[in-house]
Amino acid sequence: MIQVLVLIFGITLLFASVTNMLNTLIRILAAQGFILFLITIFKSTQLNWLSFAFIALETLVFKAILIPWFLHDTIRKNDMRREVEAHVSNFFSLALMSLIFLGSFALASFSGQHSGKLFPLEFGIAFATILKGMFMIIANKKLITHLIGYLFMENGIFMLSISVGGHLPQLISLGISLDLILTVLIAVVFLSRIKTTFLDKEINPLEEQSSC
Amino acid sequence: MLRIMLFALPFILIALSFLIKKTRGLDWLVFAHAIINLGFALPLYLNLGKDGYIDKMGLFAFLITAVIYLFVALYTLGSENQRKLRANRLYSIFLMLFISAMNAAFMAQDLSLIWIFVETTTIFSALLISIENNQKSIAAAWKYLFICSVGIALAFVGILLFVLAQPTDATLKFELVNAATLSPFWMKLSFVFILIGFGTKIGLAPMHFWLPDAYSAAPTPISALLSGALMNAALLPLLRMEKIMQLARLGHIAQDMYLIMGFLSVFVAAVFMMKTTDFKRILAFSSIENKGLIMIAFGLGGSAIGAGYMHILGHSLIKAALFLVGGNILSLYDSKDSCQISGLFSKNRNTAWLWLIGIVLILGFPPSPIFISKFFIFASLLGKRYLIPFFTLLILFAFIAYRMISLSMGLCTGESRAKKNLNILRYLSPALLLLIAAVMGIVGI
Amino acid sequence: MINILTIVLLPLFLPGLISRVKAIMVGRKGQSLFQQYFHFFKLLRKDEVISTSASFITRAAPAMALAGTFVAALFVPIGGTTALFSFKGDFILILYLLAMTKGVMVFAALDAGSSFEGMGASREISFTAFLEPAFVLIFASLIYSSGFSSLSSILGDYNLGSTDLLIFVVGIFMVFALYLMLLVESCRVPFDDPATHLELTMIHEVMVLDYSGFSLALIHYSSALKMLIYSSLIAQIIIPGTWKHPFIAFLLITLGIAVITGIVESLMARLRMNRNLELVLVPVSISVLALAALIAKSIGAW
Repeated sequence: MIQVLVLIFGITLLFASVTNMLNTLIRILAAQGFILFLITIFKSTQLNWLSFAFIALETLVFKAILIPWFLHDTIRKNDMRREVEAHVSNFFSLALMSLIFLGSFALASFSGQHSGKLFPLEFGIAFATILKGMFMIIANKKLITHLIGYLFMENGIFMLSISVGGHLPQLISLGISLDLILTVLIAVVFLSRIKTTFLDKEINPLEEQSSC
Repeated sequence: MLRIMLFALPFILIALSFLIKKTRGLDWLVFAHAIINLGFALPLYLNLGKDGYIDKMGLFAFLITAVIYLFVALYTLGSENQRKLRANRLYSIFLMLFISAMNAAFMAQDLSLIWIFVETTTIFSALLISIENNQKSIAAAWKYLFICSVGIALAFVGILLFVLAQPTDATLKFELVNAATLSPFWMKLSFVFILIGFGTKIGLAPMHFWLPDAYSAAPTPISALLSGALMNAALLPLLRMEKIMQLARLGHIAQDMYLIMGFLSVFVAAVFMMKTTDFKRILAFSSIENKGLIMIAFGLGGSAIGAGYMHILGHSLIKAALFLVGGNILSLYDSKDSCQISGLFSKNRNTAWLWLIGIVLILGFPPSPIFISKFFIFASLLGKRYLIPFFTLLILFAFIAYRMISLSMGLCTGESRAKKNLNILRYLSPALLLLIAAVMGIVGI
Repeated sequence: MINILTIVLLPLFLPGLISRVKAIMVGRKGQSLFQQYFHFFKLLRKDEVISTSASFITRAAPAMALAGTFVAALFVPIGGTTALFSFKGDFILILYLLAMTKGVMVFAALDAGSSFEGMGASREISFTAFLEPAFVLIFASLIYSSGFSSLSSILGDYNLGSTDLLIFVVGIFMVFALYLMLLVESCRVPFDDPATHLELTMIHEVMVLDYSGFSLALIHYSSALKMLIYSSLIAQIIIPGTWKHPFIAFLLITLGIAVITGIVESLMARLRMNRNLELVLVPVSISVLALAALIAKSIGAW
């Protein structure tokens, strides 16, 4: 069952390459959060009860509900254009995504011979998610899309950490959740400050990238 | 017990800060924290090496940070503070939290703890950079926060791969890692990610894009702390990982990567410095160059490792002093653009002398500790017969030295309209820092 | 025996079913289900008009297209019956036969000398160029799970009746990718609108603008046959091997695919051309994922 969920997670990555709308990306993030929650539940045999409950709660509440809500709110408040403005076309993005899949699975299979406790499918898709997040950061113009790409990376890292095994349980998940909470909180604080500072100028800062 | 005191201290002071009603009082509070912080160095030294306390590398970094913090607090006392009470309170709170997060990162022996604390320092320092609510500092702070968060996330991937590299009984505590059983494939992959991740925080090229903006847009004391102290927090985990790589007989890979990134950083710094006119940005690029040098030193190994530590010491102290002097210049001229600044000698003689001495020391003239470290780096390069890197480095240094000295000459000479005097503390702090650096240099020889 | 009958009789039923479904969705009564057959016979009786600037390619193309598609259909196991021909590695032959069909039609379109048809030909090729890798990857996934042999056996081994959940989901992915390919190859919405006759929006229709009479009948028949081939591939993956009457299931699935296509056509509009070019890559990505999942499963630790 876990493998199926992981595969569906991989399909959401393909969705993210095809879409043109910001709202769809946020919904994909919410769906990914939900899938991660389900995966955590199914893996609960390897973790003990308390950490499982904490991780599941954190995943469901933060990744699937709160953060998409934050992002949606930010988009609405800042009156942004709804399109994902990409430097590269969707075609290239989808082609690159396929290549990323191939590469991550090659890495996973190559390394599967080195370690016995690796789950190649999860490892491959987690790696692909991380690379996809980085690609989104590089290939897009808007700051909000950068943030969404970073959240994709976070999802990938989460999947990587629950697939590595339950050896070092709580601290890793604590770190992830801390990272996620604080980053998005500060980002939201920043975004509201950006709005109030830039309001007198006519440019929308979330659509422009700061120059080097 | 000691650790509890060390970490409870900022929270006590934060509670106190809510009682203080005057802006000035908050500055004195920060100064008190700085003194107590330095005071902790002695008991830590006495407990050196004991389990749960600090080790030599950590203590070294802790001392540097404490000294810089003390003088930065002193400098803040001397400068007129234009922030309102609430903003200053936020500033002081975040500053104290920032320092304690860095101390925690130095003292931690577990890789995951170090990671968490480095992440925390990123967040606090981003808040500090953006404390003045103007467009430039918010944009710089956002860039810093974002790029460093991506870097930290990659470092976390590296940590996960490190766990994967240990076939049994995975642990993240450095002493407990059984280096002989590590799988080389995963170790190499993990080290790459950790290097990229923490290297982003240090400011190595090609991940250095946040550095010039952040250093130049931050308020002066924060710039000094960022350049002097924050680098060590991210450098220590790298050095510890490199030790593990050495034990796993993969040390040459780590050293090669250090060398590559170090050279790239020096090159990037030299190239970008040519066109920059903002003197704080030039100091920032000089920071990138020095960090590249430190990486080269650690990448060469052998006798260059001592040179690396010496360089860390010298660079932190001297660069902090330079940023403080830069703050002087900023308040004298109200501009960071060196095209508009001239005549420093006639305006304020002390600042001009301090600036010149600082630039001279950071370029590596004796008695600066940087002189020793550069000497040993070059000696190592020659000793290993790396002739092309040797000459390249020499040429790049020549460019950098040319740019910085011409900048300084442009700043200092010329005519200026009015004389202006600054509080003596603003001279005292950088002067003492430079003095300490020079003394260390002499002692080192 | 049933194979040949199905291949000869069934294809023309499908486009008729699709247009009937579309009509019902809109509220009309729609044409008779056998309208395409009447159309076919009417075309057989008509004379042909051939452009003077056309060469032998235009005359030969429809027959070659039909021949290619027909022979390819002979290799496909239809509804659980054994294929008429099968040998080890015959799916490569199928691939090339279908490609030959497409290539011949494109040559014929270019042969007519009208730039309009050249435009249609280039669009058609750009779509097909990305379907071929998807096809190969799907076959590779099937071979990976069943071993290298003929099309009939690999399709026979792999089906959705397996108890392994991963195989099931990967099968669904493959079915989805094949369905998308069906939409592209038989020129259905959202890739191409068969009802449009506007210049800017035709893709496949435009290639056959110059044909009439007997040739046109052959071309209609061969494109419907292509749709049948894809449907039978999909059906073969879906139907578990243990069912008693796979042929009935195959019929149901094929007709179901036609109905679904009709519904999709009524609900969606044809997408913009550059979006289409992007979306045509989706079957490839899905097939990559499916293949990688299968490989990862077999070397995995679980």
